[in-house]
Amino acid sequence: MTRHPLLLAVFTTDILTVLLILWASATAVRIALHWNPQDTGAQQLRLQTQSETAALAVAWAFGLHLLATATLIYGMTNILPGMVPGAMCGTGVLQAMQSGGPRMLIYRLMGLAILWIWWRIENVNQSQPEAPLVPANARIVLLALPVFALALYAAWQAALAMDFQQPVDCCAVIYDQFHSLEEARRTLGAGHTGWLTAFGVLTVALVASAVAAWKTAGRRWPHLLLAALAMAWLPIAAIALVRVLAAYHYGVLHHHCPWCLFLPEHHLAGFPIWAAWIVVAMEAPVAVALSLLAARQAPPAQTSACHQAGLAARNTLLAVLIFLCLTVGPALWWRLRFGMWLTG
Amino acid sequence: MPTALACRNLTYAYPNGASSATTALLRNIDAVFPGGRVVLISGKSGAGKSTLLHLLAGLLRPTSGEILADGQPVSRWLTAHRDRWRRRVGIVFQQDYLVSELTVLENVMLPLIPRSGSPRYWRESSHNILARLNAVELVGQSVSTLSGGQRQRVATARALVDAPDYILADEPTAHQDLENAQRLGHLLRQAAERGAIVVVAAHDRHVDKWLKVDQHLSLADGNLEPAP
Amino acid sequence: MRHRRYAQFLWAGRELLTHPGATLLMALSMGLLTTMMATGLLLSQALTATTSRLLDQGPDLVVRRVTPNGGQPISSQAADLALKIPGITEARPRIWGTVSTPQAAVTVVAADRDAIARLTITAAIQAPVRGEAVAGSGVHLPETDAHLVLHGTDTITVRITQRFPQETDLATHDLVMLHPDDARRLLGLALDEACDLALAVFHPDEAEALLPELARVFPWPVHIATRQETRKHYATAFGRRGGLAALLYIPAVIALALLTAAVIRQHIGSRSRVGLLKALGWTSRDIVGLQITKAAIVGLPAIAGGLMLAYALVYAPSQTWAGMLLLGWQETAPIMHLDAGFAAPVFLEVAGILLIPYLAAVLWSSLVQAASNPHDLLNRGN
Repeated sequence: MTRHPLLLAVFTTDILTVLLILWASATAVRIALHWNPQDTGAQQLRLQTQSETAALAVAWAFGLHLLATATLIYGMTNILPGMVPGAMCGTGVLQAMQSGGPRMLIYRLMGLAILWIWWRIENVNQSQPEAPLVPANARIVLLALPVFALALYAAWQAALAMDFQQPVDCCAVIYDQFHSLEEARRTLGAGHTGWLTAFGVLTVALVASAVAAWKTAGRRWPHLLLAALAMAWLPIAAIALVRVLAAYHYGVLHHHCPWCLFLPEHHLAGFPIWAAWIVVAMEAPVAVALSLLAARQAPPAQTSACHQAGLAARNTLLAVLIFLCLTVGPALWWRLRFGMWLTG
Repeated sequence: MPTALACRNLTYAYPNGASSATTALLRNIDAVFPGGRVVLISGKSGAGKSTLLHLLAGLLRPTSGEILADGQPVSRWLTAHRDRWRRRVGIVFQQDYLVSELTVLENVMLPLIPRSGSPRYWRESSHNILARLNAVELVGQSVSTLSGGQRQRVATARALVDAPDYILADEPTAHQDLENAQRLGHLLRQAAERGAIVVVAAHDRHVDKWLKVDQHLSLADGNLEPAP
Repeated sequence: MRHRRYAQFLWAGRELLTHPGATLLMALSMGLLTTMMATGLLLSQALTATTSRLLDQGPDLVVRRVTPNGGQPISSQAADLALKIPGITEARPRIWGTVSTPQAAVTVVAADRDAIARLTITAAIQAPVRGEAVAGSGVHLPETDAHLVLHGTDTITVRITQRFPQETDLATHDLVMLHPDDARRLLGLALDEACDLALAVFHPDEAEALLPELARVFPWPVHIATRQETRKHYATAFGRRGGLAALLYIPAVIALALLTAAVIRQHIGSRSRVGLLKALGWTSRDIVGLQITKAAIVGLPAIAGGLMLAYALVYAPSQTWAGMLLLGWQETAPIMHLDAGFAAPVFLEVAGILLIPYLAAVLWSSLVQAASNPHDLLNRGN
């Protein structure tokens, strides 16, 4: 196990996050069982006070989780590769973390998605003096607890597996994915032109649906369409980036590594690119959740939920455009500069 | 301007020593304080007058029941919303709660700082209200040099400086001579005439000498009833 | 909104003046802690940057002959063997070793005219003739005489005629450059022998790919060091030292956070004062915002000042305190090379390490107070 200060800091923050959510969950259970907004009795009034404290704890947990995740990604891509023999980027570090590493990242993303939805609903809740969405958010907190506990356990396993004496073979992971140039030019049986076409078509459709959802925040179908398109766009955008468009950042072909984009020699481009990708993954489902929620609320909360759904759609649009600029932009620049595309 | 401040089935109980039992100070109170009127609540010391004013101001959550401001259940609102609503409330406490490190003028300014306005506006408003309460000569003084009556006038100026919609005054003339008490009574009457809700708690039997009251309620044994 | 923020900023300043002693103590504590942390981290980064710059001017690969008893001299013909491998553009046998003087141990190296001329940082140096030497700033001579006695396999006396430039100090601090004949005599080497072999390759980034072939070409076992490996070794060593130094300050940061919390509590005043502010229409956000503004007025200039002081301690040419205090350097400290790319993350790191607990302490202590029931604060405060 490594006792690197960075991992210790992330681990400590994770423990604190789980404790805060655990504390909020105790209130969430009481809210789920006893919440009655019509009641003016002592128990309901006490629950109202406790719900505010629990919301504050979850907000802190969300902030800590974001901070710990950003620190972890920075450390995995820019600090730990210098310590793991053979590691050039996050790929080598993940290899050193063994199975705990990928599981840790998956649970972290799931936790992020859950708290993201909680945060958007809480914004609607806080905009209303009588907090009509407290029970909905209490259920979300209860859902978050096991995910964060699993994320903490996976982080512990990943830290246990890390050994700064044991070398890894970073490039083997990337280059063992194909055995011939022909294989390198195809992904899941389809050529790169096919993936780029799918990426282009879905991006245009996603942009159009995001504009529609943003401008017609009170209607449900544009949000449903936005979420469906986003779910299709996310894997295709990731494949198009890693398999085709990343080459214009690296300046070489067939280096199918998602982590090298985070390195300083590639201008840390991975941070804004993958952040934009994550924003699409988080905001599009949030837009649907809020538009569905809005339909079940009384007018003041409904207006606020519609407003938040519109904001989520707008953020999705901005994130797609940022992703597009940072991935397609370098390819266009390359074409203008050298008069040819990077294909081979 | 507000139409009414009301209590509906309001109960407040406090913990009884170390045991889990509680003692009810206020029991199932139903009352309405209409806009543009001065209401006096009288009662013995310890009857719960201050607690009732604190409940009306949203400083305290009821054990059960609710406080309604213009029909809205403010006592059940989220803290942030209740805090914002409280900007419309001016409260005179039984104790003055002046900040000893600040001057008289700065103490009076305190409610204005988180609201709109420039430091110049703060100074002018504070100066103006101090003048109306016969305390303008105290402006630059440290509050630690003031007498009991002077401190109470500064605390009253602080409550009235932003022309609040709800004025809740707890024994506001306990340390005042008749002249200053009458000045205050006049100010409270003016506030009611512009539409504010004024609730004064006092156990002084001679309130009628300085304040013209529209409604007189008596608090005894946890119940609020019209005074005989 | 801007007007309101400006007014709140003024009020925050006024409130700070009600406790001038505590405010000053807070600013001084933060400034000094920033200086201590930043000096350790900056020094390790400066060492890494300077070493890296010097290594860039050195060979891509260094071959040493090894036996179970340690290093052995390498034959000058080894250079011809190395040049047979495609990709190796230059092979240069080097003569160097550690010997003693009456004052301290020094590193001697045989002058190599081509190498001196090629290196930009030593371009002004003239290669020494027999009986003369070029010395680093850490090699001390008797005040009345410029002659240096060197004890190795043999003992020789040389006259110091030049000094290495200051910017090479990290590598040349205790270095003595001799004529090759003097160096061989001192180190007990035969005429066709050298200590190691320095190689230049066509594509430095892929030097590691040549290692298996290089190991095969020599008839005896060798140890080959790459520039990347050496750079990583130094970076890890300096980084670990800097990181450990930073870790040592964690208790100090915790102490600072506790001090901050105490000062905030004092600044807010008794609990009854928070209750009063809430009763007067201040929201929790207003109270926390005021405390953050106050913390920023004190903390930001203190951290900026602390960072500037640390910068001066590490990079200012005449300052030697940082190396003496943190690394126990006895001699004049070498002059560091400033690299903005290295220094900027250190500034961010220190600002983060200090600002996050500081702001957390401010936020926590103000929130705990502000979230309480105003009535309870007023009645049970003080």
